Amino acid sequence: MKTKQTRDPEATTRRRILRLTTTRIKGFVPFLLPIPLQTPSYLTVQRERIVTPCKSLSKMRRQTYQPESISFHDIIAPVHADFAAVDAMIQASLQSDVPLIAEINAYLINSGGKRLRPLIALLCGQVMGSADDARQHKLATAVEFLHNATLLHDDVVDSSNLRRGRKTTHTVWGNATSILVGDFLISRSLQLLTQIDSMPILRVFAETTNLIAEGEVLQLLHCKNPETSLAQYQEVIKRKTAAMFEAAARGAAMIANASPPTVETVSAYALHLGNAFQMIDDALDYGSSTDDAGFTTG
Amino acid sequence: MAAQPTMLALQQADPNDAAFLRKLLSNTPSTGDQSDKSSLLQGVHIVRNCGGVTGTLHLAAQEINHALSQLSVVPPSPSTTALAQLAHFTLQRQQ
Repeated sequence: MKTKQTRDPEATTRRRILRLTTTRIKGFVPFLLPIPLQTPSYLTVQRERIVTPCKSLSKMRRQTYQPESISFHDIIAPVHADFAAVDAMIQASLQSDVPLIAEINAYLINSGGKRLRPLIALLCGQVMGSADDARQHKLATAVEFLHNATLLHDDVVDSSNLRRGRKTTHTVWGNATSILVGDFLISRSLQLLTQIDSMPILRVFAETTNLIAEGEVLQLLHCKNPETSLAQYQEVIKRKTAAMFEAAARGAAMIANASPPTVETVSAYALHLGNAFQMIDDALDYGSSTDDAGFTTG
Repeated sequence: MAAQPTMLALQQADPNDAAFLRKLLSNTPSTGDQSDKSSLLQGVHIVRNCGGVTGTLHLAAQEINHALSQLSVVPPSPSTTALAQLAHFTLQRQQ
């Protein structure tokens, strides 16, 4: 069994990336998980991974969650029914009297995205004990539509030909159609958000979409500028990517009537997650294998 | 704009490689011909050799760590665990 695991290139890659979270990387500061006073079980596992000899690992693996064996299916499990309901709402809300809109939306929405942002909303809502499923589903659907609208517009701006291994929408239908269908998705998401009937949540998304638009313009301004600073880069990714993650979590917590500090906590979680997501996306642009980190070629 | 891996690589690269990367960023090739592709591949090679990808993954791991630390004050539940798993899943994401 042990020999089989070491020969599995995918498992080896996962282990090596995980090691990044617990070890010193050449040329960079040492990095260990900070252990809060009230440590939940999954962080306790991380702490033990750092300080406990290997002989204890098998016991820990039997007891609790192991980062190395995460599957997306496991992550969805607590909100599986809601996730399916949101998927159905996405399909239903894509309908339009204009055939081309439905056709393009189906092409884009069913192109294999993981629906991470709706998932964050659903999980944050459930963490807060939300019982208002209908409003949570509308929020999650609106978030997915806003995200896809940004993809449509981004691909035109960046002249990207491929997304998730398929031809981009503007490559198939042209720039004007892509932009206009993106606008349709934004307006459909606004319809859903107004049905939630909460001015504070509407305000969150008004501010978020504004941040995203500013982030895109900021990115355009720094285009081809080799002197762009890390601080400027971080501001751009916060606006163009992490802000939507944050809004998904914040909106869901607000629907669940979470306390203001708790709303801030889950929002901060999602913001950091969004930052990491974009950084990894950018790293992957330099190849799926990361030989300079000592990883196996993917 | 220059992405984080390139920025980090610029901090570590020798003057020749740094100059090459700056020139590449200022005039991104269209990848239309073989010399453009060759320049891009060389740029990617420099970024990777200078630790740009490693450093970016390291900073991403720090962000994941910050995200996880927020969850320490959230009531434990299957969904809280799923949020932590999602953070690790994001870090493990591969093309």
